[in-house]
Amino acid sequence: MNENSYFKDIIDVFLRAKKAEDIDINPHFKAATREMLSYKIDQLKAPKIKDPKGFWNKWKKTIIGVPASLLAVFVVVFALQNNQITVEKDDFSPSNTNILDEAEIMEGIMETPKIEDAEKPEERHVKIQPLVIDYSDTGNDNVVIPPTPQPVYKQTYVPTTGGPITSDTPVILDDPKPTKTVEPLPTPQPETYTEPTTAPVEYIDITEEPEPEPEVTTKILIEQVDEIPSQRVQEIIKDDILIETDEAVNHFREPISPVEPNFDKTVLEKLEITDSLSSVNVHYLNEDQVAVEVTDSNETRWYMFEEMNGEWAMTQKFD
Amino acid sequence: MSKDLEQEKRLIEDAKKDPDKFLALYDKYYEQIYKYVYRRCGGDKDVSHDITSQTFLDALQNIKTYEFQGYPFSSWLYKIAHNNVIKWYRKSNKRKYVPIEEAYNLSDKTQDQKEKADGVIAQEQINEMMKHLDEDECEILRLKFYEGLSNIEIAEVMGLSVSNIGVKVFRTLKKAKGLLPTKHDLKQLS
Repeated sequence: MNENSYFKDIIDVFLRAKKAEDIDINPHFKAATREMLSYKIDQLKAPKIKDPKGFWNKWKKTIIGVPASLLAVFVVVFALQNNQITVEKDDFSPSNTNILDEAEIMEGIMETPKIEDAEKPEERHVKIQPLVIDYSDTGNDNVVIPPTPQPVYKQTYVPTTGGPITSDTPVILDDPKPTKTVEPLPTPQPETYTEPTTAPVEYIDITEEPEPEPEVTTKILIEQVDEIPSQRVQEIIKDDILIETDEAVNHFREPISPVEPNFDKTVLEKLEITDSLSSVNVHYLNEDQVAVEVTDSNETRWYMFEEMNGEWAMTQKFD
Repeated sequence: MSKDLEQEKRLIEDAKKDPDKFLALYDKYYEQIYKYVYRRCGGDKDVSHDITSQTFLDALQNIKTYEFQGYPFSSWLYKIAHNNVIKWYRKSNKRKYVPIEEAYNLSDKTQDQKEKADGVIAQEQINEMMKHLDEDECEILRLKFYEGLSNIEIAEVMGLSVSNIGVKVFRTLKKAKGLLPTKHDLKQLS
């Protein structure tokens, strides 16, 4: 049995199907394809025009890129081999005229060694000389730190008439209650500082922070006020006694005692007051210390009163 | 070598030298390739036209690489068309076998109506049979019985070795024979 006879039924099926099929050939399709091929044939036969820019477009990246890459590598290698940084040393020598005003004040020299000279890490250090500030031109060897303001008690007596203050001098009050005002005393300036003319005084450590001061109530008896023959205004001054005109007072910077000193008008009778008296201010420094400021004939005098054995006595006078 | 093959060889050599000569090959094989593509694409005329045009364009652009080996030039065209159809299947994500539905113009009164009816029945049997065959087996049957190619040409088109194609064709025919309905089945259907 040959192949054809064995597969006769299959061959018959395909022959019947192929004989009956009617596949229409569209002449337009065929013509269109032929035209397309003709156009393509013309393109194949046409001489190729060399693109004048073809070479540049093809090789420009290589021509530019390779040298640029080599240059970049060279720069990196050069930078790695010369990565040491040199810091120029400042010239503070007298011959250097470029130093400005700060050179006149600061005489120190900060020397920065060159890093390239140091081969070992321990050798790479910076020498710093101490900073020296010269105050010789100010004529004062001491550096004065402005003191911390301290509160004080202040009483103001404004006599209506001249003459000495006696126990019979009437006192007229504008307000039945004492007026409490805060008058910050002027802060002394360093340039106005003068050495005190009095005996050596005790310096208090001002770095110690004062305890919070409770509100001080003024205790002035009515009968006592009535006996003072001048207008009495009591004030509480919470700043320190930093009076420019009298440095002696400036030393009384102790914390003010909350207890009002038992200081009355009889003590003021010991003061020397003329008819030109303009004001008397009493500053309560402590319960046993009182400073009295008397302005008379446009001059201000200060008196220091201290209580000893229950009696007040004038211990110092500052003109 | 037959006269036809010698004439075709000269035509191919001329087309290599002068592209205009390629149009003669186009005129000779257009219908044959179009029908093959038409059957492979399930009777889609537009797709068949596009694939056929692309097949001849590829042949024109690669004619210089073609080496005559004693086979008809159509074998090379079938091979190009075969690859383009596979590309179209992949691109359109369609199933590999599309049965022919419109290959028979039953309204044509000039043909024998009985002959056409037999053809429709035969095509239905072929479609049913090919549903159970893989793509290579279907392609072997189409190339052998529709296109009339020899085993060597089928091997050329499908890229198979000549020694292997004989066994493959025999096994395909044997498998297809088992899938066809017997006369007893046909009598029962009628």
